[in-house]
Amino acid sequence: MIYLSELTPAEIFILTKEDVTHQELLKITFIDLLLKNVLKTFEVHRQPHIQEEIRIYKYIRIGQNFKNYKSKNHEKFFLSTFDKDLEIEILFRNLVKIGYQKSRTLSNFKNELIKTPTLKKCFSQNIIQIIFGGYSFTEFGTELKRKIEKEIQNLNSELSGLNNIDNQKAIELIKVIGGNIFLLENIDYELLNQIDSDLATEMNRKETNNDGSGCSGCGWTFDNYSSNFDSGCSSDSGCGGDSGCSGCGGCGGCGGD
Amino acid sequence: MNDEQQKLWNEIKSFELDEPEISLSFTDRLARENGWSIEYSTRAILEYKKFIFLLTITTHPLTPSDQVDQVWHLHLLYTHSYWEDFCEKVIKRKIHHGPTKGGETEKTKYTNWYEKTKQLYLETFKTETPKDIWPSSEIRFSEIEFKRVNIKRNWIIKKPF
Repeated sequence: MIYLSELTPAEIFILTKEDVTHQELLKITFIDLLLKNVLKTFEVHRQPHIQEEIRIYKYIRIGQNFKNYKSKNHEKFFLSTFDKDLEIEILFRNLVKIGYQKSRTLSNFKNELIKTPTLKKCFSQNIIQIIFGGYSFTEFGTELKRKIEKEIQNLNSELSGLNNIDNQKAIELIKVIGGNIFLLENIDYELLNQIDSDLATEMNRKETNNDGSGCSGCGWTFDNYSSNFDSGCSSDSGCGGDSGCSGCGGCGGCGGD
Repeated sequence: MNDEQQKLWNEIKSFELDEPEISLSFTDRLARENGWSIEYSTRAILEYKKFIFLLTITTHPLTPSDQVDQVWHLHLLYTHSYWEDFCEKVIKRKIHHGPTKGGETEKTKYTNWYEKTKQLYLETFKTETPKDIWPSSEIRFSEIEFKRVNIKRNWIIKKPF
């Protein structure tokens, strides 16, 4: 495997999948960084109150390869926050949102990709494409695309004897090709689904621009958008019977406001 | 930082303001109300935690940056989280918030406290305060003319200079 071990999944996608979506590029980039141990996920179990259920909080922090990893521009959407503070631990869903916000649009994400040193010979842009977005494949790019598709096809054939790729085989493959494992058939990871779900939530939130009025507890999924998204109130928000002022005053410091 | 302080800092740092399964989390709200990105909000929350930790290790009054203060204000609205979970269980003391009474004397006092805060931050965390969250005193105490604006009915246009 030459290309699958050298290129990031997002780079492979832009070469081989014409209708790739913003969500797919973000998702595969995030998971690739996790699989390469550039980022690391961990869980914390908390029980806020005795009567409440234990909640699971999933976080991301830097992984053991973070410091030596030469990141590409499209990977910085997820990595740059950690450059500012190596110790920061970010809720999984917040990092998904950060990646989405930083990448801005599909067009912006693609622009970052086609300018990476590994791919810049693959694409060309005329003035119209530079202004309005878009790109064309060069001969070199078309040839590279063909070679990558062949490589994916060969690997799929090699693995076709297995009903489902078992964990050990998957681990071995991940070591070599990172997140590109998800370009293969028969792979379905819970983590990938979670990123998918969090991304969908964030993208729909932004697209609908529906202002919340401040409360919790309204169910919402990618497939089933509720116009009540974060409006209306559940039992424990805002100024119910248990609010008002808790008697602040005279204290140790705050100026200028 | 001695062992006891390190333990407390770890507890404060790992205190979570966001609930995992709600649509509009603390971080979302902070970002929305201040026009910040989620990244900036996440970093501001960490700076807020550092500020609160500093309050616990000194008897000298301290002053936060406006950004950190916004996190504090919002946390104070989440009364269960702030008073019961954070102050009572983690910090084990009440930390009250006191707005300025105004006037030049107050401004001078808070400027000194702000400088003192940044100095203590450096001594404690062995790193300078990030400038985009802890601006200079000059900016901190001059660029404070904020108003609540209904953006459904108003446009906000940046001044050219």
